[in-house]
Amino acid sequence: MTYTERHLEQIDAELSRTGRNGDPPKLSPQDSTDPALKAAFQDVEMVWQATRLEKLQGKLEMLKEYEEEIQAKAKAELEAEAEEEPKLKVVTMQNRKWILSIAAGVALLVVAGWLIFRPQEPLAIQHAYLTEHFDDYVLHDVMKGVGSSEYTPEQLRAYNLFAIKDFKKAIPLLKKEWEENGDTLSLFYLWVSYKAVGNKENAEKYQKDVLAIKSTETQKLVQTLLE
Amino acid sequence: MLAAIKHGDANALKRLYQEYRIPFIQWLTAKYPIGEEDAKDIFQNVVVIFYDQVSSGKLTELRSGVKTYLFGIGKNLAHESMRKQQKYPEGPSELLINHVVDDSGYEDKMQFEADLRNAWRGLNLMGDPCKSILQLFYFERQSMESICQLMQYKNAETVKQKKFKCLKRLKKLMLGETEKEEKS
Repeated sequence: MTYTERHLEQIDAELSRTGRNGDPPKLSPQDSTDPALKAAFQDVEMVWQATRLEKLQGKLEMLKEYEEEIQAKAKAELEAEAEEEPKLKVVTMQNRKWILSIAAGVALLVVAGWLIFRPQEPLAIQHAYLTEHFDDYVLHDVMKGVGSSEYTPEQLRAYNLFAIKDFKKAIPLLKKEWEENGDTLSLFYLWVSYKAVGNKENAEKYQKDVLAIKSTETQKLVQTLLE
Repeated sequence: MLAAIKHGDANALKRLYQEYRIPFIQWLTAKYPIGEEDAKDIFQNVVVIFYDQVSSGKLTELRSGVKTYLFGIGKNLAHESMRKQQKYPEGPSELLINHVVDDSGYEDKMQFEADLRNAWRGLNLMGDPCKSILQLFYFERQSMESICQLMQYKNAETVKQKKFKCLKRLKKLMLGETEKEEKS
């Protein structure tokens, strides 16, 4: 059965009125009684099926390309990993050197820190006589000094550190009291401290001033240590 | 997922493909004597058939989940694939042809399949602009005016005339004219 352009126009008009993207064409029951219209519709329907198949084939091609992309990406990643492997070894070696350098630096810092901040032994009495008679050289009245105005707090702190034989802390305070305030007791304690810890150089440095202290009791004690 | 496909989300199919690709291939190659490459081909067809069912409105909801549904299609395609050799390596996917034939409702499936192959072949033999005009008008239901704008024709009447000529040409090709005859 042949059909004309008019039959196709009739079908097209119907298609334009009904359906949307992807919908198959439909022939109304009354139109299906016309053999020419029916033949035209069958061709249209076949075109629709062929375009549908083409559309689906297009999607399939898209997925095949996508699969290739996935494969290519996976391959590229594998190759990149393979290329990076030797570099990783080099980096590892470099890291080792770097880590060793840091470790050495840290170790140095620890040693230096230990040397600087190590808990130092309190400066012990090295002088044989003082070991036995140190208390004789504590001239200030410890009990009297507490809470009294006889000594300044700085003096009292320096004296008491000396009294408890903490020469390391006492020496700088005593030195300050002598040099800045001319406190002769601080001078005496400073000299005794140096004598006690065996620092002859500093003991001699202050010896002249100690000998100049005008106190009989003090000079007796000084002489004892000079013998 | 269904809504995204239905609304023409171009990446929805790729996301679907990516998500179920490996489990499907593992499942299919373990269950059937099918190699990995064939399993990939089958899965690509599965996804396209799923797309066709959703976009045509035949599939609007899933009771058992996307994975179960896809694997169900895959099972059928695997049987089909094992039973049928690829007769037309240059043509469209045999699995898609089977899907369209089964879905068409034609009683004489063999005749329909032969006509479908001829129509598809003719469509691709003509190429553009005929292929695009027929696809836009009959499948995508675009108006003559929008096709005119899209393909930069003089007016809608020109498109209408062109479409008629394309249809006649396709009909000749479907009736068995060779490519050589058509070109001459």
